[in-house]
Amino acid sequence: MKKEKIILSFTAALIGIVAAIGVFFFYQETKKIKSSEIKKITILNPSPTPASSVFITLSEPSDEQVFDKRIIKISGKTVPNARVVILTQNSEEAAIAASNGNFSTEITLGEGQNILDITSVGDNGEIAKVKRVITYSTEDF
Amino acid sequence: MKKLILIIFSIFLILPGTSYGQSSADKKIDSQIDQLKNKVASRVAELKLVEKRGIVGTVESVSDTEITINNLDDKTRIINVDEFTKFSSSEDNTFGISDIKKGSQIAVLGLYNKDSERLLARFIDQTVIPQILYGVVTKRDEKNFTVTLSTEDGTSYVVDIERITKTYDYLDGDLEISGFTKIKTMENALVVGYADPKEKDRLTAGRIITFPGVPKNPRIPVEAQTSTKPTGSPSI
Repeated sequence: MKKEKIILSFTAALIGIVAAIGVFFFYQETKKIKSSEIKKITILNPSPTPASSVFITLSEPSDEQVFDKRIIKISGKTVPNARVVILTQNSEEAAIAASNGNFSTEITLGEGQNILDITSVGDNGEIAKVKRVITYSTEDF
Repeated sequence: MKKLILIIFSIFLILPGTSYGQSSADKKIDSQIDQLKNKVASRVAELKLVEKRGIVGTVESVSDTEITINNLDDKTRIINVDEFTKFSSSEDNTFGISDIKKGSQIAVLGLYNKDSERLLARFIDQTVIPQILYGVVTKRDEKNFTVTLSTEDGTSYVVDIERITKTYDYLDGDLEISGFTKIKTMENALVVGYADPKEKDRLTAGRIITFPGVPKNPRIPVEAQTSTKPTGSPSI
C-alpha cells in the first residue's frame, strides 16, 4: 500500500513537472516576434554636432545690472588670443584676449537699457557669444 | 516714637510704589526700542530683498496690473504695474499700458523682488530689439546692395546694405572702417540689423563687421554662390 502511494505520488509529480515545462515553452513561443513584423530603424545622422571649441564667460557686469555712471568695465575669459567684439545698440568695441584668455575693456552706456552682445571669434572661425542687459539710469526710486 | 513709626511705615508704603513706577517707564522705553529695532531690521531685510534691475523683452500677455514678457534668454518674466509706473515711447507721447500688446518689445526699469522674482515697474519704454547675427557671407549682390549670410542654424538671411550701414574690418584688436566693396564671400561677418517686417529672413543692416584672415566658421557648411555684379558703377 505504502509502495503504491509512493509510486503514485512520484508519477503525479512527474506529470506535473512535464505539464509545467510544456506550458513554459508554449508561453515562450507566443512571445517570439516574426521576422516579417520586425521593423528596421536607420539613424540617418548618427554623429552629433561636436561642441564648439570656443567659449566665453563674463565676470562683469552681471545681467540686468543698473549703473548710475556711463562708463563701465567689461571683463571676462575666452580662448587665448580670441578676437572679442562688444556690441550695443549704439556702439561697438573691439578687443583681443590675452594669452591666458582674459580680456577687459571699457564701454560707454547709452541712456536706459543697453543690450550688450559680446562675441568671441577663435582662430578657426568658431564663435561663442554672451548677452547682457545693462541699464544706465540716474533716476531715484 | 509714634511719629517715627509713622515715618518708617510711610517710607515702606512709598518705596515699592516708586520702584514700580520706574520699572513701568523703563518697560515702556524698552518696548519702544524693541519696536524701533524691529522696524530697522525689517527695513534692512526689505532693502536686501529688493534691488534695481532693468530688463528687455517681448510681451507675451498684458493686463491692467501685470505684464508677462519673454526676455532675451527666452525666459518668462512677470512685471507688476502700479499707479507710479511711468510709460514712454519715442514715437508716441501718449504711450500707456493700453498701447502694449502681445508681441510689443519693451524695456523695463524697476524694483526686483528676489523672493517673488517679480519686477515692480517704475519705467516702461517702448523699444526695438536689434537682431545680431554671426555667419558666413555666401553671396554679394552688387546690383541690389545685399549680402547673403548663412548662420549656424542653417538659415540664410538676405542683408540689405543701406547708405547708413557702417562697415568695419576687425584687424588686430581694432575696428577699421571698410565698405560694401570690401566684403568678400566666404568671410565671417557679424551683422547688427533690424528685421524686415514684410519679409522673413531679411534684415536691414545698421553695422557689419567682417573678419579678414580668419577661416570660415567650420560649423557652417556652406559653399560660395556666384556674386551678382552691377551694370553700372556702385554708389556705395
